[in-house]
Amino acid sequence: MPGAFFSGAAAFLEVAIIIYFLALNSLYLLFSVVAYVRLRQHRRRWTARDVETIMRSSDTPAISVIVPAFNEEASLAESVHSLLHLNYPQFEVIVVSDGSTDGTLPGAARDFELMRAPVSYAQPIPTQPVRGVYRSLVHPDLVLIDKQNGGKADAINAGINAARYPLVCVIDADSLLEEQSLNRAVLPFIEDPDTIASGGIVRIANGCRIEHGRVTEVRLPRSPLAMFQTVEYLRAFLAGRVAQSAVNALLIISGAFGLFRREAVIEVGGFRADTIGEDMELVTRLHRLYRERGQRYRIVFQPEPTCWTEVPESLRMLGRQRNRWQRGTMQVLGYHASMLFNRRYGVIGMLAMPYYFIFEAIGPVIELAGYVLTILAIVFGVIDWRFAELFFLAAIVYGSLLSVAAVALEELSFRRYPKARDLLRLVAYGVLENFGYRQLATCWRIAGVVDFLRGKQAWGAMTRKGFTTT
Amino acid sequence: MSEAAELLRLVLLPFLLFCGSLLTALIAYLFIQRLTREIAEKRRQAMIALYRPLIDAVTCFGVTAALRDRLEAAPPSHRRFIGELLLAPLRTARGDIVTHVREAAQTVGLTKDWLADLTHRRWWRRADGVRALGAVEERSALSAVLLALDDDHEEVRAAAVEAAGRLGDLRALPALLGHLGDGSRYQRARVIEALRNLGPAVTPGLVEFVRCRPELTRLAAEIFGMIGTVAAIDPLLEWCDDRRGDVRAAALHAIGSLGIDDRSYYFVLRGLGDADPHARAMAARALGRGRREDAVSYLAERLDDEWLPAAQAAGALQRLGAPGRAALEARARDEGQAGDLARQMLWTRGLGPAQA
Repeated sequence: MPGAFFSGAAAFLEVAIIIYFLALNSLYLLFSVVAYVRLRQHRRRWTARDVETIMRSSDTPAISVIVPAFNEEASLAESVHSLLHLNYPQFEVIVVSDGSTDGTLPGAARDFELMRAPVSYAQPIPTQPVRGVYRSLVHPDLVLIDKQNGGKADAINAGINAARYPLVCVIDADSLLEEQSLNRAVLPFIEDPDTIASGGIVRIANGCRIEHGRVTEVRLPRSPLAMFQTVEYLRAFLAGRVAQSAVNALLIISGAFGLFRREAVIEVGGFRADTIGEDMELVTRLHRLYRERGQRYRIVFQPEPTCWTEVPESLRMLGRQRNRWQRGTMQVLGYHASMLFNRRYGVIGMLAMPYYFIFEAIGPVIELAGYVLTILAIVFGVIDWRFAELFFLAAIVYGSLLSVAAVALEELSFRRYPKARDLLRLVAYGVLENFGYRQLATCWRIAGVVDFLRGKQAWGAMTRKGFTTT
Repeated sequence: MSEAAELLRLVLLPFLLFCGSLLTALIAYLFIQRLTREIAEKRRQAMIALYRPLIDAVTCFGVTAALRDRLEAAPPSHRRFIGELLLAPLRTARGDIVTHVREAAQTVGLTKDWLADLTHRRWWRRADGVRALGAVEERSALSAVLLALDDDHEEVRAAAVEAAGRLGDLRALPALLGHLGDGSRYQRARVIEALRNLGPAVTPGLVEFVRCRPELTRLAAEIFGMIGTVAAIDPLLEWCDDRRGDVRAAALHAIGSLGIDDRSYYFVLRGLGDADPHARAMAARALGRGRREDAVSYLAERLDDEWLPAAQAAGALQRLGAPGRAALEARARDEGQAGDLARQMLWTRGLGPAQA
């Protein structure tokens, strides 16, 4: 009978969605446990004294820090000043102005006494034409490249072309690195020469005291939206990426702060300019190449080297960002669909990519379907409303547990938020995010799925406040 | 409701209770451990206030009779904390302060504790123990430190290498050299640092070692360049004729770092014509650092070489005063690599693009 059939189908789907929910959250719980073990090992392994010794060694590779910039007049000077004062034995800073139309170039020329220099380096990665190369008379290790607009990936590639050193560090123009960030990020390359990429943690600068491009006092944001994102970032970085890195299954190194072996990036052709998820796409391509060659390699996440960045505090900006991230993820999975469930690619093909496909790409759709089906199932009497209530309560409690577990990871490892009140706020927002914020994020991600299916490519405008001394 | 949904409903309640309890326990644990930490920190500050004047006096004046009494009066439970305070300045300080700290450590009984820690089951205790012995330059612990070079845990071996270097005892040399070729690059960096701390006296030992392990010749050349000992010139000149290009390059690099004399100048000039481009590049670098202006014509010829030696030659010409500048100006209008490099070097000397 049709009624019974639909009832049965709805119940089946409902159970499937519950299993999906359990699988996703249990996976994250597993990530948290693995991350806890790894973080303890990491804290014991790398002490400040060890890092000091490494920095005195002649084996320490030099780094080219690449900063792609498009209309970053507001914050570029602060960022570059803080980069020039990084504590690292040998490095250069390459700012790439990607066809900026505001005062980025004249402002930088004034602030850093830039002089036009000859372009005399090979360009192994094709990019949009370089209009000029400028070197600073007061900071010999600062170079600014002015080029025609080609997008963030294209700008990074231009920077990689100009880089002199074997490692390239890619950061955003509004990222603030800590003095020891490069020291810490380079450690995997020293420890194991087969390391080709290393990512650091991105923390939220909103609310922090910033002086001369440095975070001098770590504080939590005042805005609730930024607070939710703080908990989210802790979960994503301290649980998710630490655990994925432990099994060499890291598919993404954040574009805000990543360190790569220059030769490896050139070998795969650099960052792809026609994608919005260029950071994830490059890492996936690196995995692909090295696994196809059967060559030993490592791509790791380091939980200590820190990059501070501003996150959106308006719903509109945040929605755009999440929409873009969702489209980027789906785009990358589309490009490398042949790796999915392909044993040739080992843990990447059999675990990492399926995870991203099931839980990140189509996850929001399944979640939305869960909400809709549950309501319909109650309306048509397939399930009792008390069951639905119980289920939602379980979902909230389980979700809160994961968020608080991420806060616990932070508290038991780096404890960057010193006050007891900070801990209280983090725990509170870890619980509260399950009452609306997560659902909102799901809506944005669904919009991202829809836009992806409609073929939307654009980044969308992001207005930045810039860092001011506070 | 379907059977499956009913089954799930039965499972949900205990699941919810379990998660809820775990969540509550985790939150409680977080706040309790924060509270505990804050109490421990307050206690620590109190201990610092109590012992800081004593430690400052010891590090400045050594262990006088009065200070000895006060150190001996400290309860055994405070010993480790006193050890932390004593060791803190030794991260960077050298000289008399090390002697004072060592005496204080012996007085308090810390030296015995650290020696006992070398056989502790927890690796970080072993690492801390060996590091402490190295920091206070406790030479009587040399054999124990050398044993730690073969510890199971990498971190302990790393600490042992560091300590062996700090002890400054040449009896550690064979053991250190034995670890030069194995382990991670990180460990090698430490061994090199330790050898550097031992100073020029390592030269004969290192040369002898390389005779038994010729695959480490390149590394030995690099170490000589870093140690900066003229006693290494003879082996380096010998290695300029090694059949391996990377060894010749490393030897020329080291000679450049040490400085060129009349004898090595000939070898370096010969290196400009080496078959290996890296060796030619290092020879050019060495000539630039040697600042002998009669090398200009030889370097100018290298501007048409492969990029690496050409770039080093251009950099060397930049360092060689007026004759070097003249050689660059002569090539500045050329098309191609030589012209590019010449212009680049002239620009970075401040003559500006208009003149280049």
